[in-house]
Amino acid sequence: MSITKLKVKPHCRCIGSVIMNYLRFTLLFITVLLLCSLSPSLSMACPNCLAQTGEEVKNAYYLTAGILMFLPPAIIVSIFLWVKSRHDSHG
Amino acid sequence: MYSPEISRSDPVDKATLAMLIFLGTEIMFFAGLISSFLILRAGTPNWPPPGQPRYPILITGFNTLFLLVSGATMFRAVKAAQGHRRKRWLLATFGFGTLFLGIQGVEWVKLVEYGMTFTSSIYGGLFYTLIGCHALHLVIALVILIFVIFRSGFGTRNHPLLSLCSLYWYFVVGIWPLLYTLVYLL
Repeated sequence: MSITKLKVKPHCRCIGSVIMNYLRFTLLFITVLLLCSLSPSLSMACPNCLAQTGEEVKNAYYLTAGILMFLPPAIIVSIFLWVKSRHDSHG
Repeated sequence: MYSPEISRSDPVDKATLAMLIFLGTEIMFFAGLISSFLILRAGTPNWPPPGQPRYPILITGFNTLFLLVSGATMFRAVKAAQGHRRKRWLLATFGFGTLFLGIQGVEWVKLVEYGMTFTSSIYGGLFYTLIGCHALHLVIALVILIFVIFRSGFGTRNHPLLSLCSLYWYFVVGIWPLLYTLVYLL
């Protein structure tokens, strides 16, 4: 029998959507958790950068940590938006 | 094997997408180097350190113009409709890129003669790491460009390799003003 001819019962679809919602929520939760773990205030364990005295070093460290944290998502989002715009313009 | 033919139903060329992702990793690579440069420089009380030669700002400024012009000629090469015109623009790009690299090489020889080596100080180490990585990228771009000139310089339409090479070239050209400003001017 062809797979396309299989009829899905309504209660199965309902269970499926519940599972999908649960997976979406889990994925969102993990993403938020990962983003929180990337916070620069939690990464103050770098001995080379912060053991040195001087505000300039600390400021440079915070600046570069911020840039390095911001860049990868910015690159990924840029590529995603570019692909999306190409898809949209293609129709 | 990668086919140069692009499917009309596919709005995004997979090779272009792969190149963009690769350039993303390259941006991160240079961001890491620039970060270490900024932190180590901030931790050095006297910058530039005493007894070390100064960077050739003026010559490198002129040299920057050559690299920017090579970016413009690459743009014209991609836009050129006819094969022989495109090949001319590609050769101009190659010429300006080689000129930039040659002048950089001469500068480096002079700096080494003045006593600034990779291990002489953190000043020299950072300079050769950052600018050397850019020079290495330019060498790779030139090798790819030679390949593209021989492979696709005579065709009547743009070859996918040319568009990929141009993306890489724009990256190498685009990152240089940032490096020049950070290392030479600030």
